Amino acid sequence: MSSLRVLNPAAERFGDAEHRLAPRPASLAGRTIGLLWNGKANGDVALRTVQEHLERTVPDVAVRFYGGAIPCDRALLEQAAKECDGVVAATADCGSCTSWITHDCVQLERMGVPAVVVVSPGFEQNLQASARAFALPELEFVRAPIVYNNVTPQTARAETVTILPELDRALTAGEGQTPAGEGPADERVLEFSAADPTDPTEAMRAFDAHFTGRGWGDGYPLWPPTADRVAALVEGVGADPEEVLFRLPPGNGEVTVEKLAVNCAMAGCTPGEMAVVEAILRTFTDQKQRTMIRTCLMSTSAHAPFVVVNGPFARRLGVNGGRACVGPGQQNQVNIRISRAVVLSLTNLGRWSPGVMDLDTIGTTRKNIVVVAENEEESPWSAFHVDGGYAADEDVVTLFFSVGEWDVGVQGHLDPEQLARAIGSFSGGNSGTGYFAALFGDTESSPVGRLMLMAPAHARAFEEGGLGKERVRDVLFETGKEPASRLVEPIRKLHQDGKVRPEWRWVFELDPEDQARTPLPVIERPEHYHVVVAGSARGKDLLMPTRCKPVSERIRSDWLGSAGGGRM
Amino acid sequence: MTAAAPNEHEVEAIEDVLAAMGEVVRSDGGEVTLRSFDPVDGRIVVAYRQGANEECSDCAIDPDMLRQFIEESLRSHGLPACSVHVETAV
Repeated sequence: MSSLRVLNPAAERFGDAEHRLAPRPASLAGRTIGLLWNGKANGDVALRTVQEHLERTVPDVAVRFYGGAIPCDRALLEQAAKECDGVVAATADCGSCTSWITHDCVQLERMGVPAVVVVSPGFEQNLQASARAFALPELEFVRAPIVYNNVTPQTARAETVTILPELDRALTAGEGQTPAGEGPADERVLEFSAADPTDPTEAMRAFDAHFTGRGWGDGYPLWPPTADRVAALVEGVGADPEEVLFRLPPGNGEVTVEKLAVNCAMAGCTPGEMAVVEAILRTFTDQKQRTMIRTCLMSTSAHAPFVVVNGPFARRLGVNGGRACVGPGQQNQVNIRISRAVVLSLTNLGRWSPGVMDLDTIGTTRKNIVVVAENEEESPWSAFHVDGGYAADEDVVTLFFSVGEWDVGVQGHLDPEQLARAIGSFSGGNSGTGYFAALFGDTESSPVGRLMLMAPAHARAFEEGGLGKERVRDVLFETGKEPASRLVEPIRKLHQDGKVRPEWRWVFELDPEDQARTPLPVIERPEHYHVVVAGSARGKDLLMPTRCKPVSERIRSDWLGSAGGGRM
Repeated sequence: MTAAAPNEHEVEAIEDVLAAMGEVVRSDGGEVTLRSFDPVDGRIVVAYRQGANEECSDCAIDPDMLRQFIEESLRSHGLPACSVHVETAV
């Protein structure tokens, strides 16, 4: 009987020791759930709707209602913590009440009771900032579709019904999470046996089924992370396997060198590829962008990480930036192994799993994560990382979050300026709330942007015609305009709710004919347009609307020195 | 006597807390900035320009509430000995 011994890919610790969420039960059946009302209008209606739902759908559940205040009395919180296995708190819909209800739920979590806040739209950022201040950034919240203050009780009740599944999820352990009281996450080593000695793939299939079933995979067959494979990766980069590298969002799992190597081994990576994976994962930990990165990872919209690799090591390693560098194929095997390892690491070390901490409504194939090199050899321009202040011989990765992609098919051109206008006419259209509203942070840290993967043939045509990269970018920005009437359409409700930035309210005050006659850029500023040269001979480009400021990190030179780049 | 230099953890925690609270009060047009921090006695002085919320007069965070938030937040970040003084700015 053959067997396979592999290492566990999941992080051993999530969050800080003192600052992590209370363990969640596997289900709410037989539990006591507290409903904590801070006195805000219609919060009681929302909580009574939750009560009816729980009593109707959860076997043997008990519900207790607590009438609190802003803030809640400490004695009341202690009573709720003593009597309940979970608490739903409502509502967060103003500055002070959001901060206080966050404070109260943080206290409940510290007392070991799972808590979730019902937050009205527009106050999520306030809640997250408060949760960071109170040192529990992972505090669960569910965004209601309405501001409770502004509606009738009937509407409050009807709208609350739509968030009930999310509230259930926030109080229970999701797939791949360990329910409270069910012991540690798992053993370090797992063994899979093949009962049929004539079938050498049986142990492999048992391993793959188990890992995928535990939520540790990406849906494709996995390489077994045997101790030898993992040790070879660790030795290959010359690192200490116990070294803690960082905590990976959105779940803030502890990333050690060994855990990183386990996830890289599952994707079949070489040590050199693991060095690139480490740098990519480090971009997700950027402190200045942490709120927006977490928002992108957890959004119900399909924000997908997209990575560009620059520098000589990418070429040595074989990261493709040439023909068909986005997509399947043998030419992309290095890109694909790196991207798989990033996805697996985010899943197992960051809890970035659908339905757990990735709340996509529909999702996208882009979440397989695309990793490409810039085609520096065929580009007439300075490399992307050089524009960002790095030296040409430095090895750098840059993280974008794309929200879609458009094939830019231009059939020839008359002159460089006309070519730029032709490409710029592919504007990317509306993306999310655009730049009119500041629901997701300020426009400095989370601008709506554009990433253009530009074919070398087009870049050369521009350069030979006297248009530098900056001029091209400016033409793309100027040409990529849409009628104001189109741009305002998705955010009329936000305007009605007072969530449009003051400097853009005039657009909504135009009459419909003037709106249709007023062109506006699809992004706020030219510098939010990024151009990276990629692809092969034919002049075809790929445009991606983006969210969040790009984040760049150097690949660790001490790892590169050891790693080389070849196959293991 | 020379005042002790604040350690890296203290400065980082204070910056984190004030950045987060700054984000909170900004939604009502408020602003909070660090005036001084004395690492010897743990006294933190912040300047606070209170915002306003026309739809809800009780919603904007008042100076005393801000003090409580910052003190509580600093305790959560492992700085229990800090006393916070809020100077209101116009």
